[in-house]
Amino acid sequence: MTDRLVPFASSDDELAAALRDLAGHLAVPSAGAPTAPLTADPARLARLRIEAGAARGWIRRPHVRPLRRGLLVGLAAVLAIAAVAGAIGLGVPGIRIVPGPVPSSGASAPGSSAPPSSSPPALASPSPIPPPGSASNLPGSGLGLGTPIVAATAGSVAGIAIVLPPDPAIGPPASTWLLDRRVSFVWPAGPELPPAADPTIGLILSEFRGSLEPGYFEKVIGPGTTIEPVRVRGTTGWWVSGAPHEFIYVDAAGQPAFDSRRTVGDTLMWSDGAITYRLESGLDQAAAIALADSLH
Amino acid sequence: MAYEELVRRHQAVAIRTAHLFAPDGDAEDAVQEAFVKAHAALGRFRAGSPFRPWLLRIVANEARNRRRSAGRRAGLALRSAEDRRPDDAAPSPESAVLAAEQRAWLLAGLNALRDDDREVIAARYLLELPAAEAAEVLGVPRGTVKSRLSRALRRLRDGLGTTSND
Repeated sequence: MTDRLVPFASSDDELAAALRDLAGHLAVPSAGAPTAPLTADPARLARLRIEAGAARGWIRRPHVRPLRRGLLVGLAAVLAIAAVAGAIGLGVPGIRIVPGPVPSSGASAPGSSAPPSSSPPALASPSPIPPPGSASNLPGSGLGLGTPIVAATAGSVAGIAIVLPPDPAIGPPASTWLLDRRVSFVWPAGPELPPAADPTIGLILSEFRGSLEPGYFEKVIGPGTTIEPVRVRGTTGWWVSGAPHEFIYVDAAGQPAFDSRRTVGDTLMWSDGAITYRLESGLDQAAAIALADSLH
Repeated sequence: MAYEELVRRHQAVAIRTAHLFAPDGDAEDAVQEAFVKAHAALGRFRAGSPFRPWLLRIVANEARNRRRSAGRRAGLALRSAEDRRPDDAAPSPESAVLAAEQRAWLLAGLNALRDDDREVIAARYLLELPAAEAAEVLGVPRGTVKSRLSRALRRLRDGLGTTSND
């Protein structure tokens, strides 16, 4: 036996090749195979457990209504809204809303904790291309909005028609950012724009091509966050308020990417055709909707 | 639910990982638990980093924990169907037998390894993860993967030598 086995393992490369060959001959559990029964489907079972955990204690309501309730009811309501939105096409195309953990609740991994509202770290973008002047001084720097760009080029680089507030009292954005093909405009807090969760920020308006992406967005909602459907620009949008929250963007390759690690203010989201908009500010709901309605 | 679709893309490799890291455990159950834990930990996933290694690390840790608590040892096994198919063997029966013998012998050596040796071999050669991904899944620096792999192969070869001389 030794004679024919020793040469087979004579070098690391040969041994590695033999191990790779061995991998194809190992007995492995069948789940994951197309023929595996659903009862042996970990992804499905995990999802059922997650949903059951989120909805525990929830009493079914006949209609989805604007919701401002306690923690558990809030979570369950988000689940219900997500289900309804998915079922009948309400809400923002390309956005799915699911309950999830609270990323900023203190359980962050080392080095990835949410930046405090003051003195945020330098740009999170891996390859920032700062314009003349230091990007770290721009309003919105450190919020994970991406790379600073020139506002006038935003529409062309993102491939969308940009809309902005026409109100001269608000004026042009103080900074413009690009992350993937998502454009974000930032205005500092001021007389027209009360401070958002980050007190130096008055408004962040993000615009991106939502429905062209084959992926989708998830909103991670935690306890203390409520969400309700609203009418905005003649369509259904979502008003998300309460505790800070984060977006998870899941791209076509199935890679989840956090929209940012920043804490944001109350958020109004809606979609207009292929473009999805998000308006984060310290404005109340009526003022945020009025501002959204005015954009052009 | 989007999360279900997301993790299902990685389900097959997750189950292989769980099985290779803890052959005596219930891999599907470990993966289910890991998927639930990963969902709860999504807030710690770093933006822009690859998802699969992050997920597989949670799977690997879950499998390891179960291995430790199980307190018993059952090794990896060859697919039984493999051995019951002598008829349609394209190569000569002799070489098929040889290959089967070699695999059984190699597997015995692999099963005899320490857990950390078997893990690094599993990550690099059985799962064929790139070195950087193997490092993340194993929770060690990339350089450690290289040195540990080299050590594991040496021990495997030593063990095989012993086995073949028995």
